[in-house]
Amino acid sequence: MNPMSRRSLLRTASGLALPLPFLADLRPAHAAVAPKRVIFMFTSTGSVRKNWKPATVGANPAPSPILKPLATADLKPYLTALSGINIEASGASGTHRGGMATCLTAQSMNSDCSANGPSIDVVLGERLKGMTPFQTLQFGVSTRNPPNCTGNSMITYRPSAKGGFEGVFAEDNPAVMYERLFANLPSGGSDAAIAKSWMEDRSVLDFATAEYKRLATRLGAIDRARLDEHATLLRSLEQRIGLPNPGGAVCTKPSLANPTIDPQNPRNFRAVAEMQMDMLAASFACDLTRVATLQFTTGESGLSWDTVDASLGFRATAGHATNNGVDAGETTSWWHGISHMPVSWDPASADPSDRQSLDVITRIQTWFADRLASLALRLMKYPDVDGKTILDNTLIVWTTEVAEGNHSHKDMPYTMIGNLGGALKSNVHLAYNGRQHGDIFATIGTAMGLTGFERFGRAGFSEGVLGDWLR
Amino acid sequence: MTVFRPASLIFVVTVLVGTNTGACTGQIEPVDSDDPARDVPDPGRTGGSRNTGTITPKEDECAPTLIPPAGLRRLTRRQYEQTVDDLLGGGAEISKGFAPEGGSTGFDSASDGVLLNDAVIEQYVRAARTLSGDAVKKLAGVVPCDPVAKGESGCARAIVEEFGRRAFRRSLTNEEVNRYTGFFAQTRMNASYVRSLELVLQAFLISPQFLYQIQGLDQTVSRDGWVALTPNELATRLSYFLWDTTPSDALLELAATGGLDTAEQVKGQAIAMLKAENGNRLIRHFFSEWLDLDRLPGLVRGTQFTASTGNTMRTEAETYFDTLIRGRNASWQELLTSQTGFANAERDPAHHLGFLTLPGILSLHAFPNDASPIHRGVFIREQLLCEPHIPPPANIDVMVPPPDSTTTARQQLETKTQEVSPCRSCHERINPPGFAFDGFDQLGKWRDTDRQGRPFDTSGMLIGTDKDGPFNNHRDLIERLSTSATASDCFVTQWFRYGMARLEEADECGLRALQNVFRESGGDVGALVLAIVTDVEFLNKRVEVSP
Repeated sequence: MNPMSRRSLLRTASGLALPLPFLADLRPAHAAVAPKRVIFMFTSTGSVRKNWKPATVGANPAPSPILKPLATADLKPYLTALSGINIEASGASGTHRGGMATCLTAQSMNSDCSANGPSIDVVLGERLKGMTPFQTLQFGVSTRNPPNCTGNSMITYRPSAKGGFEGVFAEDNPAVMYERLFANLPSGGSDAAIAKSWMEDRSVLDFATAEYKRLATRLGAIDRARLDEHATLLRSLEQRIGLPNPGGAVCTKPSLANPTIDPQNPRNFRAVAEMQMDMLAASFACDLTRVATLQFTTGESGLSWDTVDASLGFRATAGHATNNGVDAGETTSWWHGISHMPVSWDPASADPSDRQSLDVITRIQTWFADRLASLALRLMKYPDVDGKTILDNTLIVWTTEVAEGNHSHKDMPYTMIGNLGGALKSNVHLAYNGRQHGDIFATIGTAMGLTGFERFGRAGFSEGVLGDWLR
Repeated sequence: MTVFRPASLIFVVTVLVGTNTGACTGQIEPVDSDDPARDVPDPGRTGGSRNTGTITPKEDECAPTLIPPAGLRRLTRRQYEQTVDDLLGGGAEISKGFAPEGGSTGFDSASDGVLLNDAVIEQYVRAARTLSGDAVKKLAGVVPCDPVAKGESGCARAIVEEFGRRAFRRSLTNEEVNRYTGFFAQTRMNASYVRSLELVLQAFLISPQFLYQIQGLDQTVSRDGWVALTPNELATRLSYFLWDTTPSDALLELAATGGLDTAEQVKGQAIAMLKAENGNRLIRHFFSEWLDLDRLPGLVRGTQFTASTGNTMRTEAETYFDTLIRGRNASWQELLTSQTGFANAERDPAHHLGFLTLPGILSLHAFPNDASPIHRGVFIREQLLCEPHIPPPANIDVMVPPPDSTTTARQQLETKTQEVSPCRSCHERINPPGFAFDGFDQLGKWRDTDRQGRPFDTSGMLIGTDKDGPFNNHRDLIERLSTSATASDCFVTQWFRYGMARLEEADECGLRALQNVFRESGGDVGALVLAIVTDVEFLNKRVEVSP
């Protein structure tokens, strides 16, 4: 690890005849007020409501089995559970794909299973444009599926130069993310060599951008729009070279634990997740972005947990044949198969096989809660510009595409860590009666101090801000 | 403004902008070369039927303005991989890490299938850095030039001209040569000769002319919005369609010397390219994408199934189609019924016939431990009959009880889907073709009874086609499908989506013309491919008309 204060990085750069990083001017000179940041963490295949929902409502709720890793002395002050909220805007409620399309957009699903509107991470990123090198970042863990109805792969949607909205793939190769985020940070070589290499990289991009612009003017309007978009993205890449230029926080260039890891090999699932979380936290500390997603698997995950780590013991024996392809008496670690085993979703079910499969799903969810806790603790280690920690000014939203394996989209298990610098209540369980999940995003935008977040998502599906969550 | 209108392509009816009268009759008229509405023919094209300011769709009602403007096509990952391999003799694996793609048509070729965002831009830049770094290490093999003998700027110019020609798939204009050599000179002030060349190659590899199939540059648009492809552009489109790679020097040379000026020439060239070794790419890629064969290695199908099982199934399916289509010139009907193309001698000809009984296809649409008639039925309705995807109504409980000693899987499904009114209207179409294949398990193996020892009821009623009627088993059903115009038309629709890179919805006239060609040819897949590459929409680019 190679921590660099803002001062030392600027000193590195100060002797060089470099163009000023474009962000330098945009930041307040004295960033005593810390920026607010959001992470959307997605895990697939739902939860077990009764083992997720805190037993008591209101402040300082009793921890539930699944939320236990988040109910530690360190993290409980940041923990919020929102229950009784539905995700029904997709028009395809009761399906994994509907949940994927709508979980961050609160929009309807198109016939190709994409979302008919932008996702909250993209909307927030757009509103914070110019504040950081990246408007948003999408980190993935085992997400490489095609962007179609069977792939179930995307949750982030951005406006497309072609019109409408298009999905954004959450990159699941840590080496690629590392190169995107930190390859530009000097980690050796003389100042002059670094400056020269940046200059050369800029010159190629500058030349190419001009080629796109030149060609665009010679084409019809539709093609022109796409080449212009390409040029704009190239230009912003050029402007990111030489960044991060940390905004006063301690910016730590993480080392990549295993740069040659095969991200498609399920055995590396955990290791990839750890690297992605390291980089996500560092990208917040370096102020590379203020909005990110962390997506674990595609929707309706086909993961077999034994291929990840057999010692986790995430396997269950079906008490009866399931309708999705597990035989009676068959033992499997296939996640989706297990998610269809319970007949009753009551952990106190009289049927021992129900109890067993619910126990396994609960332990899977607890495992993810543990990942969430480790992400939060990573953020807590970084001091923020206001003297608090990055976590203090961050909100992590944990979402999924179905409430439970029976595909319900009602009473979703929304877990939050953080309170956006005190703009939101935390250490609380707020129980609603059928509000829609667009209201969560309206509340977040509002709590970040942004206007225009009276509602979010598909018309008729968002009532407005969750007032009792605001502090 | 002229639009390339080849002689043999006679589906032409002159329709003035703004007219939209008469019925879509399927009538085809020859080009009337005396039509006064037409512009002066381009003297460079000698096909004899070049056209026309008003391009002419294939059927009366089909105002050409209904055809949507063709979106710019970026190289797909497959095309990028192959192109880089041909251009630099290696480095193809670099695009394996590119972001997934796929558009509304279900094919990677869809012009709306390529996503554009920060990460996508960066993947090209990263790839260009790696590729150019590797290329300059073996520059003599890429573009040989001795800077001592010829001088640095002489070599830079030679490399710009030669590498640029291959990257842009055409000779660079003087202006372009000057820009790229100018960039070299500017870079050379602070960097070494080799490093400067490396940066020039990088610039080529992220340029729009390399990453996109640029067409219709500076063209005056005909008043109804068509631009003829230049010979180079046509060579490029042909090469990417048939071989998924950059046009060969020979093809570019052919184009430059008037060898692609008539439809007959284009057709002759396409025939030669299909016969060549690389011709299998079109067949492989079309069927892989249409039938989702790339998913096979990753399937969860019990302990007997591994990635290698899936790869074997994929190869078997690809070989089946290639052998039949390119090897035996088989028809669509034969693809559905052939018993001779199976790679595996274990397949029992009493049960296995046609591609619907390929183990790979049966495995793709199944549960991990059993057949899934619903998945198979949906596959047939959507992919073979081109019915739209309709998800179950919102908030409906889609869980079905498993079979038991008293109730078969079919009975459970029927109870669930056919007795409930919102389900029935779709499931009476979906279920029967799915049940027909119940004799094949999740690995595509034949079985005579279910696990309780009961025979399968594979009978049903096919509806929603021109060959509706009862069937007793999958053989009967396949027989109906193989003679069904609904299915044959849908097969053409899939090819249309693949070749034209768009959905057919906005204007179905071009599609219908191809469907007619296909039917009249007796379902000749080769003839269909040739009809696509000589179609007006393939030979020309549709652009938006400025008001």
